[in-house]
Amino acid sequence: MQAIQALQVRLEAELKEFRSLQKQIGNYQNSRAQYLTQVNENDMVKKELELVEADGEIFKLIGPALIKQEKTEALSNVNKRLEFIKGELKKVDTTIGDLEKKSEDKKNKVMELQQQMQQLASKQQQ
Amino acid sequence: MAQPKQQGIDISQLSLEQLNTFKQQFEEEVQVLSNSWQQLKLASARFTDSKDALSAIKTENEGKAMLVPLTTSLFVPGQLTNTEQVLIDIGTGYYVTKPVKQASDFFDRKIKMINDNADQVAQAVSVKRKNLESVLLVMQQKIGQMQGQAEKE
Repeated sequence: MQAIQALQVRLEAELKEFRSLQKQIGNYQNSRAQYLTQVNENDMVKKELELVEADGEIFKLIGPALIKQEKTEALSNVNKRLEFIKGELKKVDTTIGDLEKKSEDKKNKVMELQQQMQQLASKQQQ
Repeated sequence: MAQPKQQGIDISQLSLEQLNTFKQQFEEEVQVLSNSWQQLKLASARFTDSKDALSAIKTENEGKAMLVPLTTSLFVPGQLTNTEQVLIDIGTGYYVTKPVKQASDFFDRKIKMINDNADQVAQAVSVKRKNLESVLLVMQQKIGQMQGQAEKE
């Protein structure tokens, strides 16, 4: 009986860790989705900037004011931003991968513990 | 999401609890996708409005008086002086001047892109709805069977 209780305690601890891992994965997936939208938005802006003809003027909204900007400057700004966000996206991707591996390990461990408990319980019944 | 794997499952073999999980999952997905579809339609309507407003910027209207909305409830009298160029918000804080014709093309591009996306989402919604319906059907059958058995006993 004591053996089962000890297992139960361990199982609960593992389960708690598993749940917190799942929660973390969820959080990172949210920020991943946000980065993806930003990449899409900046991609669209980049395409529009490239379409601007020689006589078209480009303005950047800084606070409440529109400031005139050269096409090359605007493009390099957007490119820099895209690079940065893509970098962040990659970081989040690796973090999610790591966490998923960890959570898979935890899941296996939990199942193992559950099996052990069942075996012990059926032995005691006999 | 692990959708492709689920396609191969024979749902009549699943237990009621499993079916219920699928039902909840599909319901949630239908909800989320319907929401995005609505958002896309709203965005598309905004661009259509802008395009309609653009149609008033033409040479025969030059010099005409108009009321310029400073906010949605405050207007000041103004005059249309430039009917060739307009300033467009292309996103992330960038604005570009464009001739009217190209501005109109810009809105057409945006509207088409958004509508294409909305169509895709609508398709996804109808697939999910079908899945949900078949799950519900099997659930009803199972419950009916169980009730039938309970009455026999």
